[in-house]
Amino acid sequence: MADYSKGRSPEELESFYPNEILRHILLIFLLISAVILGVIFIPESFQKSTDEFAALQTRPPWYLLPFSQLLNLLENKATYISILTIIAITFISIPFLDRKSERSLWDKPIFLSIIVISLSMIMLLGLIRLFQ
Amino acid sequence: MIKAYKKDNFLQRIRNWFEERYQLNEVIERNVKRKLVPRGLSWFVCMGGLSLVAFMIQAGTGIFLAFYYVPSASEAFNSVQYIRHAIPYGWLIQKVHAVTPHFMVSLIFAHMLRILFKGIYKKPRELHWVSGASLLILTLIICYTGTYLPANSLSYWGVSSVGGEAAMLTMVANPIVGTYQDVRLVGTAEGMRGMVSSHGFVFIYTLHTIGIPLMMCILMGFHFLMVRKTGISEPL
Repeated sequence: MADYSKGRSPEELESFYPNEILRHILLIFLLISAVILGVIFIPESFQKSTDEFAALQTRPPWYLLPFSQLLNLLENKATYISILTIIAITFISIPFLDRKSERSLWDKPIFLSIIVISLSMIMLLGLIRLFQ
Repeated sequence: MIKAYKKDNFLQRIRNWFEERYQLNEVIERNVKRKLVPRGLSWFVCMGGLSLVAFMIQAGTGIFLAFYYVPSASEAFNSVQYIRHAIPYGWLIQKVHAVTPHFMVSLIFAHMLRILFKGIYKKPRELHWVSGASLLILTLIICYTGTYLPANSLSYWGVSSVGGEAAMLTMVANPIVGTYQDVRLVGTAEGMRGMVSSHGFVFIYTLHTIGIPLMMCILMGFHFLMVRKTGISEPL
């Protein structure tokens, strides 16, 4: 287990119990409250599909919108799966691709540009699918 | 008074029984009561833990749903309707299970973005990132497979909720088993378009309830073990 007291003065430390635990409990209650609000306000259709519902239901949840739009663009399943696999492997390998010693992304302009462009493209794909 | 004393005595005996065998007091003292953490940690540090809570909500509600859900193209919709309308508080459990993925995905995205922008994946935390990124991908896949299971507008009413993306799974399954059919090809009549075969349904259900959660639990175990070993990152 990591020892946080090494190299720190007592003023720089606080007790895990109750301070940190209280913070966690508070956030867990906030999450549960947000879920209950979602239960009340996020609509979910369980109706027999009519034309109106058909139009509504063909749209996947927001986090799958970019993937759905990518498939619309590519059509070919094999290409689609290959691209998703390459993206996934690249995403997982980020620590091995970024070998610079600087930690903050703001200190690495090229890497920052790649990340910002990738995120913008994902959001753009999602937005196109959303307003289709 | 005597009753309370007896109750206390009984609880104390249970506590002693466990203490004698497992020495839990020492573990709690060392890991909770005497543990110190750096002062002024950001509240955003808790997002990984909150994702775990969301996962636990999903697991809990999912186990309840599994008692009543029928993974069949012809029965899935009816079983979900049964849960929603006939089981006491079934509507609440089902809705919580349907809504929590929105929060779970948001929390994991926020957690990953924080780590990405702060460069917390650097040595010695490379494998934290590998396990975390794999967990994000598995979360997206489990949410994706979950979209199919209510069969609200997919199997019965011929409207796909995620469109042809199901093809991804069925295509992977095809060479292995040979009987699964492409979701876009099953049924050519208007009302049948988008119908999933029963085999496909069981395949997606098994992935959603056993395959992916099992992988996620293993990865989470590694993730938390490594975080515990290295501790949270130093401030920049």
